[in-house]
Amino acid sequence: MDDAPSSGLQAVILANREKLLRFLIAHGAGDAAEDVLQDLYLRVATADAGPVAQPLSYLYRAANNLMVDRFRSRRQAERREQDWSDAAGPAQPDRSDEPSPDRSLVARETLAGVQAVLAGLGTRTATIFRRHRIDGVQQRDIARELGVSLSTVEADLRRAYRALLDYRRSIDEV
Amino acid sequence: MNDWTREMEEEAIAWLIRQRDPSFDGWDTFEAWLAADAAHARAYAETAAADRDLDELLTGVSWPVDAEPEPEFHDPIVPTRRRWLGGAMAASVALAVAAGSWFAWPSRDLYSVQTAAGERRTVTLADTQLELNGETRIQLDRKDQRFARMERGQALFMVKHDPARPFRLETSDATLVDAGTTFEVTAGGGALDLAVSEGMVVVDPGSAGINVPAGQRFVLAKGQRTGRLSAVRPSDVGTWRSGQLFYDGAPLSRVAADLQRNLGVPVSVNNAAAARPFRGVVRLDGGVEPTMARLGILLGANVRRSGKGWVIAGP
Repeated sequence: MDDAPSSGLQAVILANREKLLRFLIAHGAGDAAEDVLQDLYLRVATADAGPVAQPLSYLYRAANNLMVDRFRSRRQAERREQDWSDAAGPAQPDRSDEPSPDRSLVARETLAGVQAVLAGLGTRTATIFRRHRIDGVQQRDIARELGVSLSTVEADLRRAYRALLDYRRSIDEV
Repeated sequence: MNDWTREMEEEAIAWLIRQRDPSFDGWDTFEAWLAADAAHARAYAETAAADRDLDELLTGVSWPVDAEPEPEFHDPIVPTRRRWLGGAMAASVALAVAAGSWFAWPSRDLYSVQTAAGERRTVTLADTQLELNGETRIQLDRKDQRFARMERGQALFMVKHDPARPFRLETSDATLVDAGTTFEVTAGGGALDLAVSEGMVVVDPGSAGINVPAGQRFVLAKGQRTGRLSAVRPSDVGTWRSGQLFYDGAPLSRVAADLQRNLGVPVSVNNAAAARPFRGVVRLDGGVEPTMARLGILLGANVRRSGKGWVIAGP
């Protein structure tokens, strides 16, 4: 981060370095916190972000997303490793990424399972989840639309997420 | 295997849901929660990753069919009453059935701020910064820093959101209310063009309204009562401030109006070319002459001087 900041957001990162590092460390970045911040610094230079009204809040969100990205790619790498060692027979270095018939069968079953989980939540919860998670409507707008309180919307969303997480875990552990 | 409790996971879910609100700014409190126990970060990461994985999973889910037909993305949409579901852009377009009346101020104490063509001006209100482009006239209220009325022109609004006192912008055709936002408005001659780079703006929040979230543009053409939504890159919003004008299919009449506003010389376009759509970037550096010369090459059109101004003529 020795370069002169080329964007306003970079300047905000430099001014709030310690705060952002503390956030990344709380997020479990450990020794990699500096690297993640550097990554963030480079990304905001090329980010597809227009003028930002609340830059620090924007940067926290971006840092948060980066940490989730890192977690996901690490976990995917672990899974590939696992698949590899689970695979019977000799390694196939050029194994295709095309879904095998088995995989698409699994995907169909998973879809049916998700469908069942959502149906099991009841109409209101399923509707709230759909309006928010699929249609992208904000929670307070859904509350207005359905004539319920914001805390009801939040509670229903928590319930839907809880059910989907549990379902996901149940298939992961098969 | 997992070293966190179910209760931690519930908390992680609650954070995730709060953070899905674009105006969420409780990052300090969130950090304190993360720091309280190292297992919190792991529970959160797992939960957030699962949330992302849902994107792919949910694309195949079939939902109960709604009574309304699903309009095509490019159909004009009516910012009233109709529920707008489904369609390619459903994820980012939503109808807000708005709450009651947005407070009417009994008396306003208005004053005008205006710029000449080619002039720029920054106006700072409490929690809001306005950057006015040329040929813009706006009225502000001495008694209410969360209000503006735009008569004509173009301005970029950087609004600090306050849910208790939303920033309200009136134009001759619409009322816009911010929901934590940076947005650009071009108004005049009965038309309105709103481009949102951050947060969300609600158009016509009376009996019903449409949410225009970041990355979307809402265009209301002259004499029309229905608007049209399309995508806009957030980085293309307000670029006139750095001397570049981005277009993705705007008519040349709009390009001419923008050039006049930014360069400070009359720019017109003849009837044959006025409606021709333009895609590209117009750079304003170097001043009037080089800009118009580059435009001619870019358009493959005849761009020439006429009196004190310039005319863009059809090919």
